[in-house]
Amino acid sequence: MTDLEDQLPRLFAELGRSAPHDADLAGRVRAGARRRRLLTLGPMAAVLAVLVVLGSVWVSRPSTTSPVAGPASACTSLQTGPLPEWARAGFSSPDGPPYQLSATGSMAAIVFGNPLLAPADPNRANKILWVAKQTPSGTDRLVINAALEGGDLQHSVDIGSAPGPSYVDMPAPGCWQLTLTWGANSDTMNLLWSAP
Amino acid sequence: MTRPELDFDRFVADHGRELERYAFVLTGQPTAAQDLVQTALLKAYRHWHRVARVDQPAAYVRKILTNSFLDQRRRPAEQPMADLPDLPADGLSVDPVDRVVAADEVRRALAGLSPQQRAVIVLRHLGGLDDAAIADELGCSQGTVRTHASRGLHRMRAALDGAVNRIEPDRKM
Repeated sequence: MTDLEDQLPRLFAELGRSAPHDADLAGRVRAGARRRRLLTLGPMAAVLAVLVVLGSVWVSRPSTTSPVAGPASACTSLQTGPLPEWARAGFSSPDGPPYQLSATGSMAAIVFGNPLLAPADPNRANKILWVAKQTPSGTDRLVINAALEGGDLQHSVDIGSAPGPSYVDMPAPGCWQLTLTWGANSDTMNLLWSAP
Repeated sequence: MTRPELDFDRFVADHGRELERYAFVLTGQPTAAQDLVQTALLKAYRHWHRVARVDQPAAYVRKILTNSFLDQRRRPAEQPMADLPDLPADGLSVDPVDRVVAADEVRRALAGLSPQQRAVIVLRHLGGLDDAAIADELGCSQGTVRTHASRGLHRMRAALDGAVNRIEPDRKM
């Protein structure tokens, strides 16, 4: 054995001491598993996803109706591309489904059922995965109080033990201004529900 | 009947740090290491009722981690040194700056190896596995393990090029 080999165990141990530590590693893995369950709904989900993508492309053609509300609307297109690093647990690739960040960036809504539809399509759920930047206590409940832009319509949804996966249906299409409350946290987000 | 969630938490409490260190030495990148640990634990968690029953769950999960690392076809560019986290205080008398430099020299030397060479050398010198155990973990022959080790050490030696002596002046290369 050479001197380098003699020293490698100590050098590796030194390097290993620099390893980042996740104090809630088990909790993060469980959250990732919940997310994965949402992602692996079987071949039907894959077929459905293809149809959804094709449908999105069709709907977003500039010459026809757009899923994004008008320029005066608070709702913007969902973000695409890499998810924020803190929202990637459970995803095999940084590029997940489209998502929206809350106003202060403390919550991400990862939209599996894009576009969100009101009324909901009986064959496709308005599936949203909520991911908080700070790991929740596990006992938090995510409550959404929503107001329809330009109208008086209001709607509340109790997501339950969250953040996590959810189905969020709204009573009418349009740009919904959401107030999200979970634990001691609160933030806002605008999301568009399109007419079918 | 055992509760899988409790067993899993206990396992992570007992072995999570060890996996984090192994993954970090293997990848040399904080974010990649965390992703790798989570990926391996997620795979184990999904079949935890089976994993918890194997003779050595920690070795089994480490094997998942190693294979996940080798399965990665694309890895992001190496992180610059500035991305290394602060070293925790551990009572060693070595100058912390020297330790950071040493750790970075080793990390850079490892980065120059192929994934297989890196896995062999880290399993041998951090995990303390012999060639037979490494061959079993990687699914290859002991001869292949020795080849990876020999070539990997040759590359590391060239990359370090006297750095080990600077790291520990009392010892000769």
